[in-house]
Amino acid sequence: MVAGGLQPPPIEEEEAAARAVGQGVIFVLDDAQLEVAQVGKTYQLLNCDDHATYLRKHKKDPALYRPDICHQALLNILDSPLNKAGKIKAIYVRTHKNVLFSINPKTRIPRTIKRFSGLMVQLLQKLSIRATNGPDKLMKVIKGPVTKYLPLNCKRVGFSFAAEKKVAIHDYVAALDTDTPVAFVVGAFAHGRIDAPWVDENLNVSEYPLSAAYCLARITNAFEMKWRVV
Amino acid sequence: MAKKAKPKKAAAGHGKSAVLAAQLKAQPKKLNPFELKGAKGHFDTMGRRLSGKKHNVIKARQEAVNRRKKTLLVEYRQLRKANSFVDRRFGEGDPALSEADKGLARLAAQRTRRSAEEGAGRVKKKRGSKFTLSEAAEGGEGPLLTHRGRSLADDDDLRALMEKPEFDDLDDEMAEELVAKYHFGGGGEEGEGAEEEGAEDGDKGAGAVGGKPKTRKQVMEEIIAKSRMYRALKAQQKEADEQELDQLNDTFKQLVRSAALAKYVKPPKADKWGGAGWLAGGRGEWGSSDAEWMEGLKVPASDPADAAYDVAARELAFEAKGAATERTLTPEELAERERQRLEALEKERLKRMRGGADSADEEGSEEGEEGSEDGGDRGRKRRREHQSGDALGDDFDSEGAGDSEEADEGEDEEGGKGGGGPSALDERRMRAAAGDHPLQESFRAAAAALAAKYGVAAPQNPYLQEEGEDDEEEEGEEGESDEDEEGEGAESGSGEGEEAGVSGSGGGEDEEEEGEGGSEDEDEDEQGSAANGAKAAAPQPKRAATAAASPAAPLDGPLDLPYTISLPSSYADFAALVRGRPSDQLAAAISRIRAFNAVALATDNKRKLQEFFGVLVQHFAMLAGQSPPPAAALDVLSGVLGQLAAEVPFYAATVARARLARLADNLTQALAALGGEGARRAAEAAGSMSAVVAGAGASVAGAPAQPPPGSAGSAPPTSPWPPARAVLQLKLFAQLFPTSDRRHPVLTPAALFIGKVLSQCVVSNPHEAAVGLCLCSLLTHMAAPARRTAPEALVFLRDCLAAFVPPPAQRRQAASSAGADSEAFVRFPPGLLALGPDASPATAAPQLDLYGVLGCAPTDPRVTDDAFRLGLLRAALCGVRRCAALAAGSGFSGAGSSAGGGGEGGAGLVCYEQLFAPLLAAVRGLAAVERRLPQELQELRSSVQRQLTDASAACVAARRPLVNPSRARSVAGALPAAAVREFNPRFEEGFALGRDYDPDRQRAEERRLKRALVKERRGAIRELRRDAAFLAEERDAATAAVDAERMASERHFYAELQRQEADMRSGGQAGMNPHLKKKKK
Repeated sequence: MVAGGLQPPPIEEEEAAARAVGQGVIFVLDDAQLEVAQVGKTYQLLNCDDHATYLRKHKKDPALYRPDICHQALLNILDSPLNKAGKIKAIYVRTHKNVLFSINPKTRIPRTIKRFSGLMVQLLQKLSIRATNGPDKLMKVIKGPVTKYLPLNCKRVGFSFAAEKKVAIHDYVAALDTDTPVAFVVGAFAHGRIDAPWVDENLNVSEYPLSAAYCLARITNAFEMKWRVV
Repeated sequence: MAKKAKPKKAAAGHGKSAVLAAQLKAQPKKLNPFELKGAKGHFDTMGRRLSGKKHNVIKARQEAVNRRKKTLLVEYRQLRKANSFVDRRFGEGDPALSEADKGLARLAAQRTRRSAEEGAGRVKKKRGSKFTLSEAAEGGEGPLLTHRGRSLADDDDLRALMEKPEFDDLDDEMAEELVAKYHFGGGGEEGEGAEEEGAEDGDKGAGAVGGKPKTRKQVMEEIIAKSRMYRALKAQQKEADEQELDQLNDTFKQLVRSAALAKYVKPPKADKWGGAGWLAGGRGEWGSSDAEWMEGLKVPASDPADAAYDVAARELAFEAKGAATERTLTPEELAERERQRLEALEKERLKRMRGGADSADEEGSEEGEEGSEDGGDRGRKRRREHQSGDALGDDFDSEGAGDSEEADEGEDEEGGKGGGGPSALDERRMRAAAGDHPLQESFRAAAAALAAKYGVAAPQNPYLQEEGEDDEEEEGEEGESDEDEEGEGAESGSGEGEEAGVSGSGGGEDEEEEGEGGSEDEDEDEQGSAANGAKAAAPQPKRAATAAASPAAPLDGPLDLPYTISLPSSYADFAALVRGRPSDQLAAAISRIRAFNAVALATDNKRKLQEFFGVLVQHFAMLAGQSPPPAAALDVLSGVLGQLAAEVPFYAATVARARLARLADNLTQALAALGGEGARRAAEAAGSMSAVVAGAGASVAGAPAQPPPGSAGSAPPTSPWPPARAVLQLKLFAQLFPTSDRRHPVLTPAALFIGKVLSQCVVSNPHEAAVGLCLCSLLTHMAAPARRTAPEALVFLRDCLAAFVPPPAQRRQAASSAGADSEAFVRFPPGLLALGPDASPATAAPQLDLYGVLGCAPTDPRVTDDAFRLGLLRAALCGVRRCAALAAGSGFSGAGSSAGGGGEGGAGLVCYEQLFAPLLAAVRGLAAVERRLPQELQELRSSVQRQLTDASAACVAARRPLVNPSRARSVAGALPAAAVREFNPRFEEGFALGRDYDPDRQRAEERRLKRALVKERRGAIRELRRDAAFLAEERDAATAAVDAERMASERHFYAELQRQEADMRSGGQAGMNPHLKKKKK
């Protein structure tokens, strides 16, 4: 115990303080299609390939169950040199069923979709995932809305193909203020639009519709070039 | 209102409403959602099946109360009560009976019991039985079985019947059958029929139908009987069939003979059996018997391929089988045959030696035998021996000896026939032998010595004097003609008898060796190894030496070498056997000993062979100690020792180690005796440059077994340098054992010993320098295959080269005068090997030969002259060149000693430059005396210097600066200091909520039990709490009931009192006043 009756501040506060200071990027994956269902006796993350008949039996559209998009997006964020350099502050994922969870940027996401599915099943049932080689909770289901966790002075940017403002992401990133954190909201779906009315502005960064993973790669690339992360 | 409405509806449509009511009743009551309670998941999960329904809380509470009423309340009411009343009256247990029914039943029961009591008068009335309600106590079971009005239970008529004597002879089975039939078997005929049927086909089921099931024994017996019957039937059938077949055969034969079928049958040869018409055709010649006919019916193959197959199959059947050959002989058998052959030869030799009774025809037959033997397995065996790497002495032994004998015999015969004078052949031989070739001269000398020894008058060679120079042509012709005539080797050409032939062959051997030596010599010039150069140069004087030395030694053993020589038990025996014999006879003797005492022949031979090895090594040391060393004999011995060392490796190593230990002891003692003083004196002695140190080299070589000087005292100490025998032994060990081993029990000490000699002994004269160079080359040779570097050799070479430069005059004086300087170790006194003042480039540098150098004494004037020094300089330079090549990593192709050396050629030592810098300086220093050197040495020096310089430069150029890779990267700034540490999420395959995924099973189990305990505890506490509440409620209710009753009675009293009071006041009519009554109503 700490001497003198002094208690360290709660870990959430510390995290929030770390997020608030300095340069850094926050990513929010909106509307990720992660849903767990009981198939047979086991709980499984639904995907359109393996559970097509099951979904039809339950009168659902299989095209709406695409956990691989979220997986790829997370891999792109977490494997980027930007993240290795410690410039990514936080990652939040909001699922289609409005479950919000945060992912520690130090997490190493499983490389295969099968293992990722296992991880998501456990996360959505147990509500938190710990590290094998450390004490931290790497993933945690938290209470929404996500704006609670964004720093106050942070700039909130959404991405949409339908947005009015068309910019080249490199120019946009280069023009950003380096001191304030930025939160980017990217949709982790195949069709649809992000449901984030709280963003400051919506951007269209390409003439063509981009996949979530590629869009994230562009953003991280732009920041790597800006901050000279090689 | 509702009550009013309902009858109306019923009146309106009675049937319909009834159906509706029934439906309403049938429908389950709709649950009130507020009463329901159940588990809810975190999220709305698709496809989730909840384990239980939501349960109704109100209902559960009610059930709990009811349960408590049944259990807890009852117990509570029984609390502190000792007894309880149990009503066991008739009919009380059945709540469905009405009072009247109960009464009736009781009456009936009573009547029945009474009548039963009366009927069974003899049954004694039990006391108190009047009050029993039923018969249960008496009969036990319900209705009794009777037969003719009597109970079956209490009479044993049937059993008594069975006991009667007329049933005695019936067995149990029968009795049971009877019982089954007559008692309750029922339906007599039917049962019997079934029984019969069962007996007939032995069916168990049928038997069971007939009565009781058959026992196992019966079944087995039936089965056995049936199988026997079947077997009998089968045999009968077979017999009948055979009979019928015979009959048929007979009929058919008769039919055939009677020619009734003749027109349907074609003779076998007539037709080619085409298709179905084979029966067609006239009657041909029948075979006499049916068998023949059947043979003829064999169907030949219609297909050509099949026909070919048939032919091939027949050929295969008649093909010659591989005949068994003589088996390959085992090594033991080979050894045994060799021994037998030697014994036979020895017998013959002895016979010849005795001389007397041999006649020509006997000899001829013997010869024939021998010849046949020669032609037969001996030839084969010889080839084998040759394959096994036997020395050339063996060849001589088996072939040369026998053949020369034959030749001798032939000669003898010839001489006998020819009578007195020499024949033409003899003359020719004599003329041939009269040459002035050194060999021939030596033969003559040897023959004379032998003749003198045995007192025989040697036949004079008349051509010896007159024919001073016989032309070579003629001699060659003679040799050829000899070869043509006898078809054997040239060894018998001289016609001087066995010895001469032997030495002739020895000469041939020498020639061969010289040839080898020549080739080696060429190699040497390329490689530049000093020792090898010396060795290569050896043969020329060696031949002279053997020629000169062998006749001088007295021959101890028998003139003729016996064939069967047992293993000599001591060195003295062996020495006696071989003393004075030339090297080829030595080889013959050793090979005969080995063949006669092969290890496979006797169990003891292994041990004896070990001793023999020791003896041979000792002999080697003895020979090596001679001055000059007999090279041929040493070569023979080293070859034999090489073979023997493979057979007795451990003993060989032991012998070698013992000898090394003695050498090391000698060295240590000599060094101790010398001390620092010896070195100084040696330096002084060398400083004078004119005198050769007399004390140091007194008699190093030549003494066979010189004891080491125990205490030098005032006597001048001997030189610590190992004598020639030690050097040659070291060389022998280097040949016997593998030099490439990292650690070897013999060679590692040997290398250490050489290193010690090179580093600690002071060189005081050129002979010692030569020995040192020899050891240097030996050490280099031992280090080469394993790519080691011998620093002692390098240092010695450096000092040796430096000694060729004459020291400046003033320094020489200073060195001799200064006492402090004398304490330092000086290996070579400065200018020890400097060339004399009269040296000129015209002086040729001779090739030093190993045996010559080792054999000569340090006082030999040959050693001190300039030519010898030049030879030393050449040897030293060659040694430097070889060391440098080895260290630079390119010396392997030249040495040709390592198999995989080419693979890593060029990978030199990293420290090459530092290692060879002193040597390079020494080689450069030689430039001062270069103009006095012969042209050849000048070139050699400059080439060595160039080689060293180039290799040093290459070594330096190949060096790379040391770098720390991670530091280099960070300096380059390619990466930030460290990447963020990553963490792996912990999750399970097939996760199920609520399961404990602790890998420690015991801990998980403990936790589960603890949790269960807590749960139980909580449940128990809750139960107790609710029980208490329930009981309190019950108690309250009871109290309330009592209170209510009391209140009621109180009220009642008060009412009564009030009434009385009212009566009294109203006139005492007790309410019977009709007015008042009416009024009241």
